[in-house]
Amino acid sequence: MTLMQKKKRSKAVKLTVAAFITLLQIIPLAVVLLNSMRSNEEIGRQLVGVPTSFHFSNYVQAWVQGGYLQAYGNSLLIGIGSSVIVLLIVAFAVYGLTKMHCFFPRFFHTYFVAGLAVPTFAIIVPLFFFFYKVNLVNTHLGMILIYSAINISFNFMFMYAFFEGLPKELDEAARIDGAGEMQNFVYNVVPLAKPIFTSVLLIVFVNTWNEFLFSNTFLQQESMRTVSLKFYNFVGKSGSDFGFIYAAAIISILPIVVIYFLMQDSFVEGMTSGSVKG
Amino acid sequence: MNGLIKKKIKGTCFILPAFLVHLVIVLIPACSMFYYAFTKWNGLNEPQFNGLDNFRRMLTDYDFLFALKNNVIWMSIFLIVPLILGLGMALIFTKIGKIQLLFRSLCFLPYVVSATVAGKIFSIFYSPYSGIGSFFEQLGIRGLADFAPLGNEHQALYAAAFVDNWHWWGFVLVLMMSALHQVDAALYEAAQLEGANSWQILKNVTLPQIKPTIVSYFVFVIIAAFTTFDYVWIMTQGGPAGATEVFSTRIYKTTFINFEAGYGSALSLSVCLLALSVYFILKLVQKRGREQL
Repeated sequence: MTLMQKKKRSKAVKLTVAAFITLLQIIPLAVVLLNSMRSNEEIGRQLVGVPTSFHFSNYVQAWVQGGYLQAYGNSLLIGIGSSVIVLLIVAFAVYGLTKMHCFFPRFFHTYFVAGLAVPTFAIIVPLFFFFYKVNLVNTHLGMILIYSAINISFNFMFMYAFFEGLPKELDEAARIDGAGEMQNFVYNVVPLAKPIFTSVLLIVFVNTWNEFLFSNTFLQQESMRTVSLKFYNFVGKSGSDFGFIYAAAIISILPIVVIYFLMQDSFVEGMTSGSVKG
Repeated sequence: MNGLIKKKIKGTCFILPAFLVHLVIVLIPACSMFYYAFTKWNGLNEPQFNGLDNFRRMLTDYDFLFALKNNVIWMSIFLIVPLILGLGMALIFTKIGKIQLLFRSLCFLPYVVSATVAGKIFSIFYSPYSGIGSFFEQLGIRGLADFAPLGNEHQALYAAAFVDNWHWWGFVLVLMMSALHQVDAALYEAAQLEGANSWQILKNVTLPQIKPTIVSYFVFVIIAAFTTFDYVWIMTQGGPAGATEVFSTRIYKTTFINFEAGYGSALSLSVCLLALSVYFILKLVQKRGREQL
């Protein structure tokens, strides 16, 4: 066998293994998608199968009975609120630290980076009873505050590395021209930082959409529940109405999956940049 | 001089919003645990100082101490399985041309699925009436008909870990692929010219080059395993018969179901300090290792 043939065969083997593992990896989601369109009887007869006719009623019923309109409203409000706040406060903090003079720059930098090391379980107990006292349990505002705070450190590190790499000449030129800091931020930094800002918005939005521990603890009222939380409670109540459950699962993950496929690059880059944050 | 102070005040104002939000929501609660951990407190009344009582109680709290075993099992699984899958597949994916992009994005897909959906869907798959067990029974394979891992004390933890692993290894794959792409191609060429085989190249070129990524992976897994919560809680809530209790599920039950917030704080504090001290020890080892190079 020549070297060429050997190489070709090795590549074919690798391709097969890669395709096989990828197939195994997506089978569970494929089953969910297919079952979301099958009737309960079909699913009851056989777990894995192709829908004989498209049961859109599963989706209607899951959407209505599950109260997903309200859940979508909650998740969108909390997700958009948190991601915009994180973007604004972290971008300003990073701008202040990298482009302006300020008091204790080393302290602030260390503080934000060290925030990554604080485990979630170090704050949830006192925070819950504190929020309970000030009536922030079961509120959108409470969740937005929590999600904004716990997403600061990671995004700080992510944006800091980027801002540090921006050329200083632009700022100096703007200042000589008499531009204020806000003007410089809006006209010089924002256009350059657009891709990274997009990543930050996406990461925080997806994190909040999927978050479980805080939302499960702080949102106990049915009407306040987020989409992921709704699904958690929905499954317990729906017994063996599997058609609805699978449809509800698709409804729960659809926005995130669509965002993921449309904006894969900024998404994956943001999530994996330099840190192993799961 | 006055001008500089003015400038500094202005600059600090840019930093303050993020600092204050983080201070109020993260730092102050985290620090207040050092106080609550030494109190008897149900979360609503005034906490009452009770010295070391909580910590004394912890030493004989076998439900809590038993959880350590499960956290260690969980850690061992995640130190090995996602790394082998993620790195192994990354090595294969980077050698199959453009189609790797498609495979990569499909393998990463479960990572964006929420823990509640992944956990609950797999709970259905694991159920003997509606899941894999009945699937095989209908196919006529009886051996797997009784497959119900979540109801089995010896299997439930692994069954939950399987789902978390399914959700997470695609992330490790992407991480490893980007580490592999950063390895200087000239190193591979040199090794090939020297006549090294693929195993030698992997051992002597690839692994040393991506070592920093692998080390951060280990550090992350070790820390995260102490406070793992989502999949265990969603799929088993610590059951059956306490077989899958981990630190976090004990803390959660103590605090939010039994309303023993003082004792819960003591447990959280212990686990967080344990995780942090392991973190600093690992960082130290990492630093030593780098200095030796």
